Amino acid sequence: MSEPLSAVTVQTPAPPALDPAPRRGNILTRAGWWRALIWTILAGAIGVLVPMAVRTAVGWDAWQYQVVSAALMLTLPLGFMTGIGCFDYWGRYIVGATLPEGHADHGAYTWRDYFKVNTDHKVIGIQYLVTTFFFFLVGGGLAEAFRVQLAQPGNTVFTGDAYNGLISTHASIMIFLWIIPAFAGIANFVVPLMLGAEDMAFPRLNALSFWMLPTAGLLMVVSLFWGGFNGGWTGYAPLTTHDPGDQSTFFNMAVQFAGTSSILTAINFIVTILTMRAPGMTMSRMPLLVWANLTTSALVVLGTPFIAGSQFMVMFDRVLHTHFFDVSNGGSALAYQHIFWFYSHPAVYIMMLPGFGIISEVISVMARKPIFGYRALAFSTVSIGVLGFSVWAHHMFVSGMQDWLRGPMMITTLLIAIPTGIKVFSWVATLYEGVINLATPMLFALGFIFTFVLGGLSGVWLAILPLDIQVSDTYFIVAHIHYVLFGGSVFTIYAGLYFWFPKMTGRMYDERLGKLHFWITFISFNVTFFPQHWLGMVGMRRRVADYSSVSDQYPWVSHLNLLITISAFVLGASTLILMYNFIVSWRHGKPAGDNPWRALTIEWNVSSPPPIFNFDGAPRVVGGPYNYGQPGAKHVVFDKPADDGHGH
Amino acid sequence: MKRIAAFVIAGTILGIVLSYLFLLIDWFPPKASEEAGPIDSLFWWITYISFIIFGWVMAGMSYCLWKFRRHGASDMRDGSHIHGNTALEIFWTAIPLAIVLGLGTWGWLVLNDNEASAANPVKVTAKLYSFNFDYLYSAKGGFVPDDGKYVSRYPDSFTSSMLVLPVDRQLLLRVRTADKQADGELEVVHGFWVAEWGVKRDATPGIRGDGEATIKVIPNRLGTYQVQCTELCGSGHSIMFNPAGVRVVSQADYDTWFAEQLAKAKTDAAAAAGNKGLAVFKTGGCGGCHAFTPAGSNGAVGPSLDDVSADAAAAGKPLDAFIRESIVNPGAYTAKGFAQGMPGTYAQTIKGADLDELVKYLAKGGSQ
Repeated sequence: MSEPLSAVTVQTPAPPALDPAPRRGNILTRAGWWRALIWTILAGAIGVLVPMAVRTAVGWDAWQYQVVSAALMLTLPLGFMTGIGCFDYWGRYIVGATLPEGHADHGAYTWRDYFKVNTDHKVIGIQYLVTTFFFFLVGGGLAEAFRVQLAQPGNTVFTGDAYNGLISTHASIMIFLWIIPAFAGIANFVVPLMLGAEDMAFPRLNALSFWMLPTAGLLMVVSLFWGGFNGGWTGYAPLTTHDPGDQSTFFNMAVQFAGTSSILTAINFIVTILTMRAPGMTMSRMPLLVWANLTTSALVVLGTPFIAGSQFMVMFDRVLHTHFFDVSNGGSALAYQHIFWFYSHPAVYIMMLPGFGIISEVISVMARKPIFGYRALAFSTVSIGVLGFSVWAHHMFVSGMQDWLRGPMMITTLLIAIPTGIKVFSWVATLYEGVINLATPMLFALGFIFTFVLGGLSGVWLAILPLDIQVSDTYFIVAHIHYVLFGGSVFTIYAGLYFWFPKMTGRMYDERLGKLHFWITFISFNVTFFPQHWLGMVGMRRRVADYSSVSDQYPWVSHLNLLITISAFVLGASTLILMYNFIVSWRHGKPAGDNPWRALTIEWNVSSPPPIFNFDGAPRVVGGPYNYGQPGAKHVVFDKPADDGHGH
Repeated sequence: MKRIAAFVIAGTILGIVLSYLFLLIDWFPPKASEEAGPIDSLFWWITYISFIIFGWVMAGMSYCLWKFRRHGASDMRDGSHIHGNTALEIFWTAIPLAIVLGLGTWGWLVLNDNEASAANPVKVTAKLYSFNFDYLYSAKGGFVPDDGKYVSRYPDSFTSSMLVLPVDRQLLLRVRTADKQADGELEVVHGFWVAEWGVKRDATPGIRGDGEATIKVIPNRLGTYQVQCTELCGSGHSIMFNPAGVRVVSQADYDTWFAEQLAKAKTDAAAAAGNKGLAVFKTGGCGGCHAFTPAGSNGAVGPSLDDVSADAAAAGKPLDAFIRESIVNPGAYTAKGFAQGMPGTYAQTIKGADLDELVKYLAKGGSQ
């Protein structure tokens, strides 16, 4: 029962010079990329042959593309994850050949350790961030592609299903492979350190969560070679249940893996945060990033099963000919929207709350001030989480659902503005009488306040029923979601990356390039997305490859679209500055020291990068996390390590 | 206290200036319904309120950035040790709460007013990728009263690809998706939107447009308006709009048009009885997207079928074979100047003798 936990806590900090335990077996039997290749091929064969054998046995045509492709998308990722070694420990445990407890898979001693199944939360954090950034670039590239189509009315670069494939894949990758897991990556690195924990509660589960991501991402990217799934990231049934090309299966299955990854990580965070805090770390001394991740994790655990279910139902309708959403056979098309949004609205907060946490950390440290209204900020995070589950149908105000439901959903949606407002006002009040350091993370934090307030206010707009009915499914919505997800989430991810880069790598990024990156991003972001409000109001629908019918009436529509396309390319290029900065600084940057920001939280009181087992001494929390301006204030002290190497 | 008042005043002024600039151009299209007016004033007010709140935040932030900066990298000072201020926190919880509840109440009132009872139903049917409008006609003339029941076919009803309406009369639009059994269509979600009216509804399969999915509107401005589909509905979603889909005319013009359409519907029915190809053309809904003079259709979504022999020549195929292929496998050839958007479902819905008759009818330019 206590097996997984004891694997974490009963451990002696390894002497830094110790190499990981030598691995047994040869190149084909021990976990790694060669075995992954073999297992993937084997799993592929199973995915093709088993359905064909079963079909032959019952006297049907052996080959059925829909069935085989769905089976392959299940077996290939599982085969890969098994081969790379995600299930080795559990597998042997089940058959009684338990591996000795050890640290063979823990920590990065060379760069190669980042390409293995690794149980160190810091390695996993970096794995997450690098992987998700790769998918961010892919998703951005897709956006540039369809902005070319939209540069002028009447373009025919991508039309019809090709265009729909681009927009659907863009949105899905950005949401499921960038924003959600990028926050999980930052939290993976930072949260255990902040808590004074030696690792996450379930390190092997943590590794499995990571390795599900690249497979989910590959499913989405590979779908592009079949034209991309084209039902939108919302995948409304019944459009997706009778998708003749079957690309929707890619989306259905990718969401399963990305979603399972989220759920497992969330469980891991909840247990870690609730049970593994260092002595003295009471709930009311937890940094706000920890509160944010606790709430987010609760949302993930409660919400994500709904989207997983909805995508299975869509796939079953198409592949197995069930009738969940088939109206003419007793199904309900509207039910899909309810189930989908019951996850996908809370998902908005899954994509925003961790960002709020990052901003609280950055602003307090960079203004040298205690965060203003700690309790109100923590409480507002939790109340956004709770309210977040009561607003889903505001995505369906025009859907034809029960009329009465719109009233309560409007009120709850408006109420969410209150805790959100409390946060914004508290951040601004934190600046008051501070000593503000405008380093890059702070610039992104302040830029975030600017863009997020605009995005939040257009959200209030959209809550008001008659206005929502006028602008829903137009570019106004596109503007709004990019203001909250790019101006909101991505800005906070940027702030977090710059803020913790010195901790992760031990080196400082180039501040001038960082500032350049901020200003180009901030300006081109606003030029790209602000005019989209106007386009939506005048009548430009979202998800159209051509807007001639509107620009024929209002010529400025095509001028604005050209401006947006140009600006979108500048915005895309700005990402390369960050990449260049981080790659060069990682190798050649100035040594950052342990605590370049003079912050109080625990992660800044260990070396940069932190020791493989996080702490040389046993952390004991003795005060609040943000007591700036109080001479001699301490958040953590390190006791001499006890005999068993940990301080619990 | 004084300083907070100063922030609030400065932010309010900033917000008013920004709102004024934002509203210099009226971004909404010209209002053409009774409903659009109240929506517009709601919009006007919420713009001011939003920018004023934005102004408060920006005023506070800018002041702090101007006043409380670090003096260079060697400045190791900390800020004041302030943890919060209960009165201030109550203030910025209560004020926004009052604002959003006020706005919510107003929005609900506008909506209720806009959706007050309506008679005069027209059935809006969204198909791949066009809209049809069924005028439900009773023997007494004019619209049938809304008896709360959905009636699929009245004896003398007619279908139009254009929504023609009398000005200043309240309409009840029953938005629905084409029916799988009755129309042989793939069912997907579409949206019906006339931007100038400020109203929109999805046509969701299974929701029949007799209860919830209705639009109540009083068009109050003569003119021609665009109707657009607002839900992603497949490869042809981008081309699912009709720039002249709605025409609002005077009552007299409307009566004339209505009588014409009704008479035409009767002659069409008679003609179709003697012309199997025309009958298939009508029931298949070809005229919703394609113009074809002999059938009296003027759809502009797809290429005109009056020019079908020119397209066959361009594709380099015999006329009969070309028409047949274009119906059952529309992706095989796409006419110049158009994007492929015709659904691939007609192979299931038009087949056998029906298909032969339709091909013959189109190939012979509408004669029997």
